Amino acid sequence: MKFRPKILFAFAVPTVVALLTGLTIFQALNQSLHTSERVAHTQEVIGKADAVIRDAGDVVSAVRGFAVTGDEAFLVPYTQAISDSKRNQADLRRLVSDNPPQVTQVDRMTELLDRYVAEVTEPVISATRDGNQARAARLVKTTGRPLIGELTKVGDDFIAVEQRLLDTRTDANNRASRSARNVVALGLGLVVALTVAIGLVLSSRLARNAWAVIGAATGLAAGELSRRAEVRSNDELGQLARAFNQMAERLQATMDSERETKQALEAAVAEYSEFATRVARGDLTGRVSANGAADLRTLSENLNSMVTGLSELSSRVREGAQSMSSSTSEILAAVSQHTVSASQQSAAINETSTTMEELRTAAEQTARKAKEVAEQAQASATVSEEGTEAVDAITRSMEETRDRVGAMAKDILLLSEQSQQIGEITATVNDLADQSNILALNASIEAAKAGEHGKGFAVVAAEVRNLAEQSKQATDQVRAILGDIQKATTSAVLATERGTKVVEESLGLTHRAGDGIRSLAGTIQDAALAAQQISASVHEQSVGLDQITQAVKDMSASTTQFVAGAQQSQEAAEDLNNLSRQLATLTERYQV
Amino acid sequence: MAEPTGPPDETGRRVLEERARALAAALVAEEPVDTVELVVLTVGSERYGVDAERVGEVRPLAELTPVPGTPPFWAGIVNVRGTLHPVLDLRRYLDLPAADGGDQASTIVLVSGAGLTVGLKVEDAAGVRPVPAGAIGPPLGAASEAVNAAVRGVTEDLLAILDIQALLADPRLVVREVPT
Repeated sequence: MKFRPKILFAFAVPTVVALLTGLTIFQALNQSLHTSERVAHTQEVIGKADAVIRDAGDVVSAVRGFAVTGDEAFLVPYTQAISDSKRNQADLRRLVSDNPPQVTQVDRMTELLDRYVAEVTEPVISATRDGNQARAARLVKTTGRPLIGELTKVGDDFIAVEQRLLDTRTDANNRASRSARNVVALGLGLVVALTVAIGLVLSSRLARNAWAVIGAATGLAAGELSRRAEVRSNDELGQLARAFNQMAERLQATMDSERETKQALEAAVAEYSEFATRVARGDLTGRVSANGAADLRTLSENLNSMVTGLSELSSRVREGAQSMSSSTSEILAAVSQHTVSASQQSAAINETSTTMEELRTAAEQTARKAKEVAEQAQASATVSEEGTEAVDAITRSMEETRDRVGAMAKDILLLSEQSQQIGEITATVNDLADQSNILALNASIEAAKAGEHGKGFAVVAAEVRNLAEQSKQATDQVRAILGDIQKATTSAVLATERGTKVVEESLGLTHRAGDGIRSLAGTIQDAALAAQQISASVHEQSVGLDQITQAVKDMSASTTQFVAGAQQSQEAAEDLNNLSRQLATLTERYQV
Repeated sequence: MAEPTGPPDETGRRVLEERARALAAALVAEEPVDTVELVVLTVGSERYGVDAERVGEVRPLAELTPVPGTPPFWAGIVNVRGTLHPVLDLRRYLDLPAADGGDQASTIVLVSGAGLTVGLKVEDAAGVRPVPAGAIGPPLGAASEAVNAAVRGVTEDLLAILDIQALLADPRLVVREVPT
């Protein structure tokens, strides 16, 4: 049996017993609680039944009082008692609704009270109010008393039945409580006894087996490989003891095989040590015997091939040292030749550098000249632009002059037309003068006809004739002047036409001059541009020359470095020569 | 001519007084003298006078309508305020040469006489001048036949005076064209 079922069994037995005990107690308690509830209900029912009987007594005493005294004040407690009784009867009916015989009894009590009210109270009240107190008293005695007596009896019966029920229930409750107490005492005692017994048996058996295993393990740790654990149990401890015994036996076997391997290894190491000493001494002819374990055999083969390789290496190094010696001699000769040619190259580079400097100076001069040319061309361009502007200004003023001369010609033409009009007016005036003259003549003729009387009139007519004559002369003068003016205007018109023509010609000449100056300006501009381009290209050339000079300098420096490098190469070759000699000396040590 | 500058002597005083008297008398003596008013005409390059009594009007030459079939001295007819008047080319009638600048007749002088009113076509009417009747002498008679027939007399300054009455009465002026 394993640990797990054992322990589970040990705990399960007392638990089951405790559970049974608890169930019994729970049942007893539950019944007791139920019984106590019923008891309370019964007590409430008894109280209500008492209240109904008391209300009936109040009704009777109130009715009696009213019947005797006729005082209306007695009717107040009567009404109160009736309503209380109704309420209490309703409560009582509700409480005993699960018990039909009791409900019947309550109904009986209600019926009796109603009958009392109908047969006694109402007639008594009406009789008293009518003043018939004798009848009232008689009604109370004869009819009321038996009714009330029956009501009281029914109520007492009801209460007695309820009281008996209460006693029965209380007895049952007490019995259940007592049996529960006994069950608790028995159950607890059983649980304690079972727990103690199972615990003692289990613990003693487990401890004994564990100690057996612990003792065996301690012995093995101390080196007693023959120690074994004696456990007959079938549980986990028993399995542990069996596994431990197997482990101890395996351990013993392993220790024995290791001891044998170690002895074989020590013998092989001694042989290898002797072989290594021989190789160190320079004897490469010896070999190791290949025997023993697989690893040792591989090691022996590797050692043998290593020594073989070493002897081959030694002879190769010797040959290489000899050939290196001859090579270094050749290198030395070549390096000397290189040094000489590098010196020659250096001289040539110096010459090139000088030539480049001269070339650069020439290029700088060219650049300066090109710049001057460009500047002069620029100045010429500026001057030509000014010339163009001046020609434009001349053209503008010439055009203005042309316009003014044209306006003048127009004015003169206008003047000519106006003088023509003046001539016409003058002709009219002349005509008028002629007519005036003829009129004056006729007047003087009429005056002459009149004889002596017309003499005064003749003088006036003569004066008029004189005036006409003068007008005629004046118009003649005006006409002459007009002729002069017309001549002058004609010549002026001709002169302005000639002037206009001259101005037009001048304008054409000016335009041509402007075109010439403009094309000249264009040419100069082109020249300036070309000069600038020349300057730029010379500058680029100069930059290129600088770069070439820098490159030559770099070449010179690298040649110098090359010479230094050649010297270093020479030294290195000599070092190599020494090294090859040392190598030859070293390899001579080994016997092949 | 050396004139003495000193105070005038007796002879000189007398001469001055005579001159003054002569000048004053001239003004007084003119008053009763009969004068003829002459209208001076320019015909070709010559000048003639016409009695102002005979002259009706002087007009500029205009709207002259030639009349065919008449002698060359008839220039044509003109309309003067609704009345037609024949116009006589006086230069051609008097058989006078034309002036230097050619025929420049520009004026008509209406004259009346012998029951006719005729326009005389002349170069110019220069004006009216009074001539004392006593200063008119006989014609010179050295001119052409037509001129001699028409001239009544000559003034002191050799202005020939045409006799309009006689001129208009000349039978040559009458045109009698018989239709054939």
